[in-house]
This record gives sequence, C-alpha cells and structure tokens, in this order.
Amino acid sequence: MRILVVAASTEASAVAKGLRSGGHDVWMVEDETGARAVRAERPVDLAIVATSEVSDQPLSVIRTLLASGRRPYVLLLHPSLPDEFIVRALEAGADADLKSPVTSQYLAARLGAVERRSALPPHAEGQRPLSLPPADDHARMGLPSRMPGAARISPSLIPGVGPLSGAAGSTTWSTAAEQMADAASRFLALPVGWDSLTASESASSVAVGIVLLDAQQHLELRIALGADPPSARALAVHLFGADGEDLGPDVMNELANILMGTLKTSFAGEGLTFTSGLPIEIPAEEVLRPSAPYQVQEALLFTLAEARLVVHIALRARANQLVVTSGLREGMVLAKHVFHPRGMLLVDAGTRLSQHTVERMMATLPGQYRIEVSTA
Amino acid sequence: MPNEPQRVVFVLPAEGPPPPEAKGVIPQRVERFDAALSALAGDSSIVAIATHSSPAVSDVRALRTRFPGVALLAAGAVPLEFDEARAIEQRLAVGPAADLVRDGGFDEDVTRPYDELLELLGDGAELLRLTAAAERDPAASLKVLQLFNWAFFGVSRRFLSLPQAFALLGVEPLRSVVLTARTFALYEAKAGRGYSLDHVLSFSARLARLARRFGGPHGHGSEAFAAALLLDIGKLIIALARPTESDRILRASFELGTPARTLEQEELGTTHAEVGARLLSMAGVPAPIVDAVALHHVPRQAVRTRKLTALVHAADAIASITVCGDDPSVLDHEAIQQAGLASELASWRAAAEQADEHSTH
Repeated sequence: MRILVVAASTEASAVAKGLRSGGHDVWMVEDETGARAVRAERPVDLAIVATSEVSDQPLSVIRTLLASGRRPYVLLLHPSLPDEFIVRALEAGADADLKSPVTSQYLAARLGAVERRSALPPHAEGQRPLSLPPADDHARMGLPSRMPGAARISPSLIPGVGPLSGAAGSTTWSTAAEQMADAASRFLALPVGWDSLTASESASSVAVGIVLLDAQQHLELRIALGADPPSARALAVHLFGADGEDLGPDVMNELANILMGTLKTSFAGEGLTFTSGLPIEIPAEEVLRPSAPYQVQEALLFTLAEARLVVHIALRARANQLVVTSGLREGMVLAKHVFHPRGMLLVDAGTRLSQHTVERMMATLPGQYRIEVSTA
Repeated sequence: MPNEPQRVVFVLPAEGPPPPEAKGVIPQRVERFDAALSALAGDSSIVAIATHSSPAVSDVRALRTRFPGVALLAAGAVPLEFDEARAIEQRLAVGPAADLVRDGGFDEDVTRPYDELLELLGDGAELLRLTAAAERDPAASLKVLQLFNWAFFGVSRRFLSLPQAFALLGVEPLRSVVLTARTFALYEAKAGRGYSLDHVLSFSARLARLARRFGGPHGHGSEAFAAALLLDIGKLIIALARPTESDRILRASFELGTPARTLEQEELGTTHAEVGARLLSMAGVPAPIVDAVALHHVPRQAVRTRKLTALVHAADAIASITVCGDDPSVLDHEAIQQAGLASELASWRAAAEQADEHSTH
C-alpha cells in the first residue's frame, strides 16, 4: 500500500517505520507543503495525518490531500484530542481517527480494513467508462432523458422565470450526473460508470428515496434509487463483507443521503437552499415513474462493478399550498397528516378544517409552523 | 422507616476497597451480582444493591423482575437518599409503568439484536466486543449508527463505525441511541400508530444536543444527552401497549388543550415519563439518568439528581418554548434556581434560538 504520513513527531516517525517494516511504500513529510508535493508526484492509497494538539493545520492538510486526484483514505492520528476537534477533522474529510500510541498489531489490522474497503474490482465486461449514455435509449423507452437540453424540460409546464426554471437551468442540474457519480464513487470506493437504461431496470425491487423542499417551499427535489436485489446485495457485501449481505437497502439509503447532500450543497452554492429532507417510501415501480407530477427529471443507470443502480432525480413546483398556522381557515382541506413537532399525530390528511379545529391547531402549534393544504 | 438502619448488598471485587462507611447502612459484601441476587432471595430486609460498575442487562432485568422495589445504586453514591431512590424504584417497578413496558414488548425477535448490544454496553463495554457485535448483526448496528449520526451530528450522512461512536460519546449516550433504535424497530414492526418517528427523532435529537450543551460545563454532558434523547420514548411504549387509550389521550389532549401527561395519569395511572424511565431501568441505565427521565416534568421532586434533572428539564422546556411555541410557564424557574443554574438561563435560551434546525410537518 502507498502510504503518506504527514507530521514531524516521534510518534509519527515510529508509525512510518513500522509501516515500512510491514512492506508498505511510505513517504513521510512534515507539513502541508510536503503533502502537496507528494500528492503531485504519485498516487497515495492511505494518508495518516498525525497531530498532538488542536490546531487548524492538520485540517488544512486533510483538505489539501482531498483536493484533487484519486482520493486517499485519510486517518487522523492523535493522542485522545477532544471530540469537537475530531468532529471538525471528520467534517474536513478524514475517514476515521486513530488514537496514539498505537500498537503495530492494531495498526496492521486497520490497514487491512482500509485495503479491503479500497479494493477496486476490475471493470465488468462491457462496462463503459464515465461517459454520457445515448439519449435515444431513454426517449425510445419513454423515460426521462439524462441529456441536457430541451428534451428534459417540458416548456409548457415551466414558466420563463421562477424557482423551477431557475433550478432546472442551473449548473448544478446540468452537472448533477457527474457530481453524483463522483460522490457515489468516493462513498463506495468503486469506479462508477454509466450505462443505458433498459426495460429490465424499471423492475428494480429495492427502492429508496428522499424528498427535499426549498426554503420557500415552492420547489420539491426528489431523489430515488432503485436496484435489483443482487445489485443491492453486491454493494452491501462490497462495503461490509459477506456478513453484510442483508444491508443492501441500508447502503442504498446512505448513498441516497450522500447523493442528495451533494446536490444540496451544489444548489446552495448557486443560492438555492434546500432544507433538510426526510426519507420517503417509494414503491419500486415509482423509482422511474413517480406518481407525483415532476416537471423536470433525469434518469441514470450507474454501474458499479457487478451492481447496477438506477438513479432518478426530479424537480417539481409544489401543487399544494403551504400555509402557516396563523393562515389556516375553516373549510381548508389538509393535504397531509399534521404532526406536532414532538411527533404526535394531531389531524389526519384529508380533514376539512372546522373552526374549532383551526382554533385548536393555532393553540397547539407554533405560529409559523407550515401546513400543507390541498388546492384541489 | 428512614431512621432505621438499611441493609445494602455491595458488589465489590475481592481485592477492591471495602464498602464505604455510611450512617444508617448495614453493608453486606459480595463479589458478583448473582451472589447479590441470592442474598436478596434469602433476606427480604435488603433495600438496595450497590455496585462499582454497570451490571449486565440480564442481571438488572432479573433484579427488576424478581425483586421489585429494591434500589440499584452506584457504590460511590453511598451514603445517599435511600428513601428517594426506593420511592422512584417502587413507583416504576410495581406500578402501571411496569405493566406498560411489559405489554409494549420487551422479549421480541425484532429487539433481540438491540438487547444484545445493550447487554454489551452494560457489562464493561469494550471496543473489541462492540466491534464483534457490529459484525455479528450489521443491520441493527447500521440502524443504531444512522440514529447516532442524526442525534449527535444532526445529519444522517456521516458514516462512523459503532466503536467510533462509542469512543466519541461513551457508554450512556450510545446506550440511549440503542434504546431509541430498539423502540423504533419495535414500533415499526408492530405498526404502531399515532406518532411520526421522523418527528419524534428530529425533536429528541435536537433536545439531546441542547441538553449536552447545557450539561457539558457542569460535567453532565453525556448523562444529559442520554436522558434527553429518551424523554418521549415512553409515549411510543404507551402507543404500543395501549393503542386505544393512547389514541384517546392524543385526541383529547388536542381537542381540550389538556397536557397529555395529565390525561395519561388519569387514563393509565402513570405517565410517559415513568414508562420511559421503567424501560431505561430494565435496560440497565444508571439511576441518575432514570431519575432525570422520570422526573423531567416535576424537577423539584429530584433530590439526589437535582442538577441533572434540572438540566434535562430546562432543555426540554426551552426546546418546547422555542420549537413548539409552548407557553414560557412550562419552565420551572424554581427548580433551576434550586439547582444553582439560574444564571445560565439567558445563554441557554440564546443557544436554543440559534439552533438552525427547521421544523415542519
């Protein structure tokens, strides 16, 4: 394994020495400048960033290590520094932390785990490298196109200006596929390719999804992932080994979180803020054909070693109206269940509000609590 | 009989120090928890077991089941308020709360992996054993981690391992997360109704982070986090054990504006706070956290855990005011004052208002 140790300390030197004696290629540098130089020259599988105190320097090193090229697995080595610092290091991109002093046996075991996780299976036969799939396949099947351009937006549904056209015309939307493929590849430590969707893909039986709303509650962004059970199982086994074969849905849930987080961050960079979302239950047949009327959507097929994963992202302007508690009126019909912030069900979806219920909701819920009412 | 000597069995290692000397305590020393249970079987005058470390969950459950009302205490906490400890213990152990926890489901297939994790956490948790458990049941471990990430970080996308979570938080917060995951799994398996688990988790996690922040400077960060995460868990147990009554309570509370805990007391003879505390007690959670959960609506009743209970109550009340729009009178200023925490209130309110989480249905 190609290992970079960043730090000038007795502990780090001892670790580097132990790694070399274990047969690894080890480079040791003192600081960020050295780390950048090594990264520019050669690929690194694992980086160990050692620090003995809380400071911004190791965090900066971690960001540098992750800034370009193939992403190494990053371990922070520290003498039991405070949780807050570890959290910052994880947020900066570290994959795990390791408390010093560390025994050679424990270190060897950790390296074994890293090696298992980073093992990159060869490309499957016929798998394409990262490239755009032909749009014709999608159009022929009546599926939403992944290609940028007029085919993916229905002009009659989208006003010339407004949040939906803004989102659909954003750089984030036009580069969503690339961004998601990159995020999936990092999370799974697998190369991600794209392939054409086929009819069999719509028969995905493991489905997960997340919906986000924008801050003004005008837009809904949905991400749905679908896979056949062998693919879901293959991803889980890749991450957790043979014992994890039942974790396919959980891995897909986590991947959905990561892909959604990627889009959310990118949209935020363009001034469009989506709030925290909630996982939603998606029937397998609705991964590619959501029952709700999404006006802008794209479907992708990710190929990850032996696994095939359908990724569908969709945007729509919300049909129902969001009303704050103080704006509720008698006669309105609730589009969804209304829960108290602590989780208790207060009023069922479909209820036509009486004056008494309006008063009780105003008394029970915060004034600015948003409630979805039907406009039908 | 507060003035009569109390018989207490101390579970202490053979080479360890002797039981602490305490006025009014007649100590009996044993080396193992099962020996303490044997002593209880032969002597009904024993009022408490005091131990130097967390006993195994199976031992705690044996104690709670076979000897209801006998207090379980930390050896270091002796001398202590026996009467208060026993009063809480007895109220939880032989009252309706115990029935509800039993009827809500404890020995269910769906909860078994979580109970095994609890067992590990209750018996001198070690990283290696936790790692082994995580490998043995990765599905349960992953669910625990997802909840942990949400509760601790407020996001669900970090992907730490169970041992990392343990190293980061310690036993008690992690045990609370496992108990939450366990109850959620039970609720989903039994198709419980009346609650949105997403909302329950979102609020509880926010509350737990707030309590950790309040408690940290007072050395109670982990305990406050653990207790706060589980304040409402009793509501889910009630919904599972008595769905009809639970529906009635929720409807009536909304229609009449009566606090749910008042209706719970009338309808069930106990409250969600006591039901939650009983669940914790059965799971081997230390007494101070159990007390804080049991008394979070009546913090002035706490004596031996006054500060922790006041911290948890404050986090709950301030979150209720800022997030739910509850009336400011839900905050018991006198309890905060008695715990010596009144000077913190302004900064606590500011911290709660700064929380950037967004509530919607």
